Amino acid sequence: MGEGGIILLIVMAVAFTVFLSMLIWLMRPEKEG
Amino acid sequence: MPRWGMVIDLDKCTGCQACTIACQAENNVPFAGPEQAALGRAIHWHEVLADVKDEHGELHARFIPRPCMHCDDPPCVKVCPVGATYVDEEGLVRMDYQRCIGCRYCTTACPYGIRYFNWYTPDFPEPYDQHLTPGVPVRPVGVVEKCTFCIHRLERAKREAAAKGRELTDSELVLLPACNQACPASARYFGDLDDPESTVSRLARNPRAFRLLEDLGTEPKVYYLVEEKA
Amino acid sequence: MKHEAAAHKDAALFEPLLRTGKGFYVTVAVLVIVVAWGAYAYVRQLVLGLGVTGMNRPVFWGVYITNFVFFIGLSHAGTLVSAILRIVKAEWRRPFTRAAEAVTVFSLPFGAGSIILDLGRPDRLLNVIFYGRFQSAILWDVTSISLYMLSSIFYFYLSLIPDIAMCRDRLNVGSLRARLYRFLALGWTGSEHQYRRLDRLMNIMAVWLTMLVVIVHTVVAWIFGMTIVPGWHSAIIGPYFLCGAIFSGVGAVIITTAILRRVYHLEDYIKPVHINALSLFFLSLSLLWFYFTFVEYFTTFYGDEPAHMVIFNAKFWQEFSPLFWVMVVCCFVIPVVVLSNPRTRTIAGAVAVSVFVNIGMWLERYIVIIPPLARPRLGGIGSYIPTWVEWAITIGCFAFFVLLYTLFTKLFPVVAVWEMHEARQQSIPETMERMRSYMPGVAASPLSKEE
Repeated sequence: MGEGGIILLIVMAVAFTVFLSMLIWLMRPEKEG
Repeated sequence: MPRWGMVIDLDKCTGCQACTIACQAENNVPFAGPEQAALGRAIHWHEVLADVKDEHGELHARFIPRPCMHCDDPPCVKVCPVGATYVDEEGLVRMDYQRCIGCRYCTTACPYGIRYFNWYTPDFPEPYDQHLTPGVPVRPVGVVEKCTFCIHRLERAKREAAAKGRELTDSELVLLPACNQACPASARYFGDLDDPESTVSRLARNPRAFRLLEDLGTEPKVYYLVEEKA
Repeated sequence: MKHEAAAHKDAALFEPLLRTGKGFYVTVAVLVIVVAWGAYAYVRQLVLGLGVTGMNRPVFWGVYITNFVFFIGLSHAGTLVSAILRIVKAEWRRPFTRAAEAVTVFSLPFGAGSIILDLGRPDRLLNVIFYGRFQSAILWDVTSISLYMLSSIFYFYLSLIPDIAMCRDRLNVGSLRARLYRFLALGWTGSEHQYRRLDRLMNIMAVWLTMLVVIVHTVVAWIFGMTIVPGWHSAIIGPYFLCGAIFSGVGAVIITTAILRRVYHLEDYIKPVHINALSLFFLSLSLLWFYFTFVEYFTTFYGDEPAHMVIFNAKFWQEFSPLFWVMVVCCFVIPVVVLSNPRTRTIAGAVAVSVFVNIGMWLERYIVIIPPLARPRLGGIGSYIPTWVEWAITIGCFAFFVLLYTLFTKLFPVVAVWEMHEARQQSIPETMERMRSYMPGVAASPLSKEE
């Protein structure tokens, strides 16, 4: 696969993972105490 | 490895256009027709540029046959997003018609304007559709095409020489591309620029030799011999 | 924060989601027809080839590439108004952050799409991934625009969540829509803890998106700037395009906001004072645009290099001069004349200027792209007349953008209700506190909630 394609896919995968994590963090309930 | 180049003697060139026609026929270049040609859609892998200059009140016209320059540092290859155009080991700037996505970035990047595009599906009216050159692919719609230095002839000549157990000789190479072969003025030469004994190599070192847009740093491999008398 | 309790105060913002007038259906019908016409034109192009356009040799690029830059430029609207104004704590942004973000989210696909529409072999699009060469500016483009699109959609969604929750809780709608709201609301309860986290995320995304705006439009400019085509290869093209994008984007926000204000009766939310602030910003962008334009062309003119002067002349006095001078009038003369004067710097005045600016900025992209192609280095003069196919596709893209936007206004409130409530509850006291802390003789204010 072309190196340009790999960079594109990695960038998108990282961004997607970061955003998904942000969403999960957002909706996590507050710890008690 | 050879480094293929061309030399064109402007003093011998008569502007007869036999080279352009030979290329059209040899390389299955599609017909545009007069209306499409008027719209700027004609494909001419090889073209003869008319260069008319007004020098000190005297009109000076010359003809400059213009194939692809097969640059050593091609701006077109740099910009291609998919590597559909690339430089091979022998210095030829190649086209991969299967990979080209038709973005036409390379056509804008080439400073010599030697690249063409298939705006429609190639058309060969009768009886020309019966006279296509075998060994030269007919390109599909939507891809870029350009002069290949008649690589199909080069490959065939290499195969034949290998079959005879020897290398290609300079004399076999000089008139190898269709344009060179057709030239009635014997103004054109083709060969290995990295072979110091070859015709093109010696002519390229001639003080009359120059290249187009040399200061751009593209390192074109088509050399011209300037006219000896203005 | 109990936003839900106060949501009835902003009931007007939920009205369009519940009631649909005839005007809406007529608008949608017209837009669908225009989109269909554009789609038909594209099908013709797919079947017959790009020969149905006016492009040729040497003018290999034309209206589609102009549209590409134009739509990407529009998309910087949202990011600017929503993200950048958020970072600098400009409170007047609140009524139109969502409208602006929606411009971003819906215009980006047409920016990227315009490139695909221009390809000779769109069926081979995936070659860009399979065989992509990172040496090519096109790959930088694809990567940065994809990243920008994903980031903008996420940011848009984040800013929608509290309002979606309000829709889920308050609106009486069909079961499909109710399920959509419930799903998208992700269980949002509106607790202080959640709002704190949302605020944090939006601050991070605002900074990220601002960085992306700079990267994306510089990279778009580099498609041209990284070649050695005279007229394209200039160091200033990156900043020039960036300025132009923000400029035309703000114009798009003004137009969109004014239309929404009229159509959905939001006069209470979008007031002349808001448009006035945007207009002043718009005016300064016009001046900045003029500065870049002047600097670029004056440098070229004074340097007098033959290859560059051929193109300069084509733009200034030859066949491209009408477009060039119309561009200057639209992008500089009209904005300065109308927006400098407080009496003409009204909402109507701002909208009129925005329309002219967007026309002028479309022309600006055309003027950057086509004249250098029409003057090849080795001589000859190219010409280019776009065909009906190109116009149909252009107008179709635009209609599709408006259509998506119109449908969006039926699903979600076009003004961020929670942001308005946050303003009422927090921002006014916070801003007062901040202003007091600037004054001499006042101790530094305790860390505000916004960190």
